[in-house]
This record gives sequence, structure tokens and C-alpha cells, in this order.
Amino acid sequence: VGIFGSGAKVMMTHTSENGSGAGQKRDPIAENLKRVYNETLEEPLPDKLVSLLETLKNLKKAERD
Amino acid sequence: VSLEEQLVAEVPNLRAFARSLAQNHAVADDLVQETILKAWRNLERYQTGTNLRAWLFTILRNTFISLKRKYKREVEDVDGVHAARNVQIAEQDGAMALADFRRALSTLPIEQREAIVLVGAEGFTYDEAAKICGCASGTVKSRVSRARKSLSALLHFEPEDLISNGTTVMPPPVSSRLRP
Repeated sequence: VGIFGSGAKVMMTHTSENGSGAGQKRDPIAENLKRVYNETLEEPLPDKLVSLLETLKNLKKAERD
Repeated sequence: VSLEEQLVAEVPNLRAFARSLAQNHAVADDLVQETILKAWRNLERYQTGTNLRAWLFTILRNTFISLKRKYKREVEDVDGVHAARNVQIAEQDGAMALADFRRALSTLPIEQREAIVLVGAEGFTYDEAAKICGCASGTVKSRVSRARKSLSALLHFEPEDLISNGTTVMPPPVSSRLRP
């Protein structure tokens, strides 16, 4: 079962040379989807969002004080 | 950790989901900004103990639907203009293949794209994704399945794309098969 949850069909299978991965299923669509998605996750936030979050944090701090 | 801090920690994921919906970086960031503000104003409506990310994603998706009407051309990116602009790194096969994947993903109907991203990239269950999308769990399954079939066809994934060390060998660039 790949990352598409139980019952999701995994399209390809792979057996490694030494047999350790015998029957291990690979899913290039899932792998590339994760890679594309993770690229954005790892990007630094743009200034406008950083600024917004900073403003909200300061507002919260002011409320507490 | 306060709820506000948890919300801030979710921003990168919100951004990734927004980008997968909007296909346009500027619109995606507007979408995240609007979502943060709405969530911040309505934090008392969030039920502690429930899935905060799912709650935020639902707000983001609903905001996207509203913004879609306003920024229809930019959001839809029907001609793949922005996706094509992103295909700049062609020096390496891997980079090119990933760019092709990104472009192929951008050609999917929005319902399929959000379904495959929520389940495949974010790891939501079909039930959670269905709640976010406001549809039945079976509908999400069906959309994910159709998305996978479309991507497989566009990218020509075949069993022989795998080599013995377990590395996926991406097919040749398919730029010519996708809309410019």
C-alpha cells in the first residue's frame, strides 16, 4: 500500500537485486507528487506572509499584555 | 503550544496546497494570506482536538472558490502559461522530468488535482479529503483514480521505468505532448 491510503492501487512493483526489496511496490506518481509538493514546503515564506504573521503575533502579545 | 502558534506552523502546508490549487504563486500567496486572516478571526470556532490542518485547508479551499471567480484567468491558468514558465531547469534529466510532472499535474481538472494532492501529498484519508472538498469519500477515491490514470498516460509511466537499484527512471521529457 502506497501513500494513497489503504485500498489505493499501486501501479508498479519492484524487486531489488539482493532480494531485500522483494515484492516492494513503487509508485512513481506518488513519489513525484511528494517531491513537487515538498519543494514548496521547503521554500522560505514570502515577505508578505512573514510580515502578516509577525503582525498577528504582535497583536496576540499585545492582547496578553 | 498555543493555537495561534500551531496555525503559524501550518502556513507552509497551506501554501503548498494553495499553489497546487491556484497554479499561480502570487494568487496562491493571496489565498494563504486570506486564509490566515479568516482562521485567526475565527479561532474560537475551531474545535480543539479536531484536525487543525483539515480545518485550515477547508477554509483555504472555500476561499479559493470565492477568489476563483474574481481571478478566473489567473487561477485557472487554462493555457498552462504559468506552468510553462516554471519549466526553466532543463539541464538535468531529473529536473526536467519533475518539471514535466508539474506541468502534467497542472493540466488535471481542479477537482482531480485537489483530490490527488490532499490524499497523495498531504496524506489525508479519503474521508478527511472528502470533508475538505465537501463531497463523498467515494467521489474522492474516484477523482484520485482518474487523476492517477491521467498522469500515467501523460507521463507514459511503464513498469520498465524502474531500474534494478530501485530508482525510478523518468521517461523522456514529454513537453511536446503537453500544452505549451
